Amino acid sequence: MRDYIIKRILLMFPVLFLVSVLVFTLIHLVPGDVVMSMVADSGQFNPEYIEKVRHELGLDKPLYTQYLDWSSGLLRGDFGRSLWTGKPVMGEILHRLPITLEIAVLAMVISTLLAIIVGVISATRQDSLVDYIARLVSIGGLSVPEFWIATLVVIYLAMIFNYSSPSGYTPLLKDPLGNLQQIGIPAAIMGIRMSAGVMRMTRSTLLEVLRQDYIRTAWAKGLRESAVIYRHALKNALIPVITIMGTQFGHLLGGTVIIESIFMLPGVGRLMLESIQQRDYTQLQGNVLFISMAFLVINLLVDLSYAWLDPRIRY
Amino acid sequence: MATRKGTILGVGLLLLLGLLAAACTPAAQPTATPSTRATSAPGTTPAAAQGEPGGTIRLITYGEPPHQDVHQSLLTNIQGEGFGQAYSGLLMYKWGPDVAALDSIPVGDLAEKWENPDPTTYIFYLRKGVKFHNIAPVNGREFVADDVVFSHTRQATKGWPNAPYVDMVKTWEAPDKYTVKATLDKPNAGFLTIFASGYNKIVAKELVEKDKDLKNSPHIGTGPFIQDEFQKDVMKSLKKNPDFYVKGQPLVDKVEFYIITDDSARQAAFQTGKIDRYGFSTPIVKALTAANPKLVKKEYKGSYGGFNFGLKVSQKPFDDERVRDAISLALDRQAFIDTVQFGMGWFSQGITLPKEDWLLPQEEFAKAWKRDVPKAKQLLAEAGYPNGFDSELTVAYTYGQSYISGGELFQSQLKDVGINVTIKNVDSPTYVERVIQRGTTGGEFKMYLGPLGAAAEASAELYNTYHSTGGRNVSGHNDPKLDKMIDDQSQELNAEKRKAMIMEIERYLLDKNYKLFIASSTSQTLVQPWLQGWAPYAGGDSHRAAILRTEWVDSTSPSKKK
Repeated sequence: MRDYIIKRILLMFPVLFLVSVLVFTLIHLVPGDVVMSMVADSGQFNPEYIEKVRHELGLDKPLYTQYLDWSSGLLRGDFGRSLWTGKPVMGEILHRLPITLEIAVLAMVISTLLAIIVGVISATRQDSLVDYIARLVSIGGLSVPEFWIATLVVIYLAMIFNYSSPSGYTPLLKDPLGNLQQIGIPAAIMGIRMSAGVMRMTRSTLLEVLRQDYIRTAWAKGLRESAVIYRHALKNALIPVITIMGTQFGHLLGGTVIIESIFMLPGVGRLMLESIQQRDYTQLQGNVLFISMAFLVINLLVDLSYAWLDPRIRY
Repeated sequence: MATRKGTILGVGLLLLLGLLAAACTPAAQPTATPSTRATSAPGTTPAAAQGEPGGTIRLITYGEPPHQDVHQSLLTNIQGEGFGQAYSGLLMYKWGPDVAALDSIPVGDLAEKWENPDPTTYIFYLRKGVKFHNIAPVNGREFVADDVVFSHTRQATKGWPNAPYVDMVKTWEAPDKYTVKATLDKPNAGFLTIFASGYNKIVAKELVEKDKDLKNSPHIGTGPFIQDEFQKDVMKSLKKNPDFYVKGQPLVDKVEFYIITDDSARQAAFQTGKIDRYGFSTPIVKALTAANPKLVKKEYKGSYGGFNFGLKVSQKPFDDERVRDAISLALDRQAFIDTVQFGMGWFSQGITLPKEDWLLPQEEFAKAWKRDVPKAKQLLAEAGYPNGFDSELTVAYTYGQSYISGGELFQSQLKDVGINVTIKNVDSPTYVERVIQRGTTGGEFKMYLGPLGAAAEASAELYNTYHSTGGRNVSGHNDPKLDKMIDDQSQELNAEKRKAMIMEIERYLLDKNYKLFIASSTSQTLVQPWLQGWAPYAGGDSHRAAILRTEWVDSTSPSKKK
């Protein structure tokens, strides 16, 4: 197990290197830069100022020099400074990460509860009315983009219930209920939508497991339904489900871009969107690299969890 | 058994959704342009505001500025919609119900009055007893003439974005504690108007000396509000300055700016009474006023800025005046106003004028810009393009849906005369780089549709955009006659004579079609019924937004019910 973990960690470095080259190249291929964003916002244009700021930010250096400067900083654990604010990139990410983590964790909880519960009901009552409804809803959930649902929720809550999220942002530790009012709806939208895929996977893998000999044996032994389903069948059906959930959690860290903007939440997703709009290269590169690292770590944890779920799996 | 468990699970699911539902249960230019030998042109300050004191005004802003230095930023989210409210300047624009929104009338702010004994000298007499905010290291000391000299000398630093608003002044002097003398390098008809802009703010010398820079410093000024709460990327607030030099102002205790970037979120926040006023697009205004008839809708001509249709005049085929005329005749600007702008537009050429009557009559624009497809085809044929030609239209789509829709409308209109246009949608940084920045040296466009932000004064716009050497002459035209007309009006201190000269320039531009300006927008601001005393910012000066000094909220405001 230890060797496996070390090997996986070592493999992360070439992946991160490739990600760094890719994100650096792609963002620099897009026309315009951070100084253009600054003057675009103000609607005024001063060539001297533009050249001066470009020089100060090092944007007048050759691209390979800019990459080497940035990547050598990374090797020292320095993600650089935001070109827009001049503040440390990692500081900006860490400042906003708790909000995104909160949304992601709450969305995962909602998604998991809904998906497992509905998936189990759907599988154990295959081809019943409940099953059809659950499948129909889950296909709907997969088909409709969450930004569309979010926009409708925001507008209809205002129109019908005269409700909108409280202004400003309330930290969880300061006022948990106030925080829930701000985080709850976006997390529910993401969670309910995400649950569609997990629910379908839970249903199909559970149906497969329920047809295995050992399940038939369990029924034959006269075990209660709950014991058969939850102790024997569900645990064995969870491996592909957890793989999907792990991937979804990774997506959540970088996939809250639109939701955070609609619900006025200053998380990592909105930071990412702003970085793109502002051509804040260093901040965007830092964000992507950070999320890639999180993705790799989550994937490793998911792989390790297989051994816990299925004792036959050994690394 | 299984059914009962399923029911229990279902109930659990409903409970979870119920909990979530519970979480969201409602709980320009001077009118008094100094004459050549004028000895004085006294400014006045607005009368003390009348209204109920207290409460909070809650507004929307669009994001965080990159830094906090008000001398190195032209962004609205630091100047007027944010901590810029902590500052004031020597002059400002007059505002109120009796002032047309388009008129930029300089009045005194920190200066009680001024005079210009000769065409290049202005002497400002300052208010006495004005104090900076009581925050270290300034600690509420008195504002004096040296602060003006320091601030505007600093602001004029070469290359700084705010420098053009003061760099026409050759020297600043402080003959005594309450007098400032500004000597211009040459007569400048628009000086007072430009100088009254909200970009010209007085900062404290001690703070600059302590921090070397103001990019990460607190905001310490002499303005009506004092920096208060700051939630990065979420909101910022300022509280009333109890020692403000205009007694009785500001009326409200606090002003809050919320960063809301999404249209639906802005609409929801306004609809639920969390925001006190905002300028929405026409469809949203209709939806909101239908839902709540008590909302007050204000329509006004807020700025000369608007939709700009540019051509690369220095290159073929646009170097031929007949081609430019043909394109202008092919475009139906009235249709653009009627459809894309929902009727909320008017004709101008994007030049900020001292008063609205300096603008050519709308009928004259309508006549010159009347769509005439047969004549356009004839002109194209005479220019050697009987079958038209292919071209490309760069559209700055991130500035709003109007640009996307407008691009498509003009594409179809140009097709009618045989010009087949491919639309290239680009975001704002790309637009600025390809069109604005590199436009003067070639650029990467043939035709473009983008915004024209109004300059503070007619000369600024004319020099920037229409003078052959202008920093934004992206059309690339070179017209010595036009250059001379621009130079002449800029030094004409007699307002009537200058008005005639500028109107002549407007007609000349209509004839030459170096730029095919489309229309200026009629602004719409929705105001909650409890917010009183709001009037459009004078001359579109959102950089000072001095209106916040006299706005007030009545007892029905949610901020007073708390």
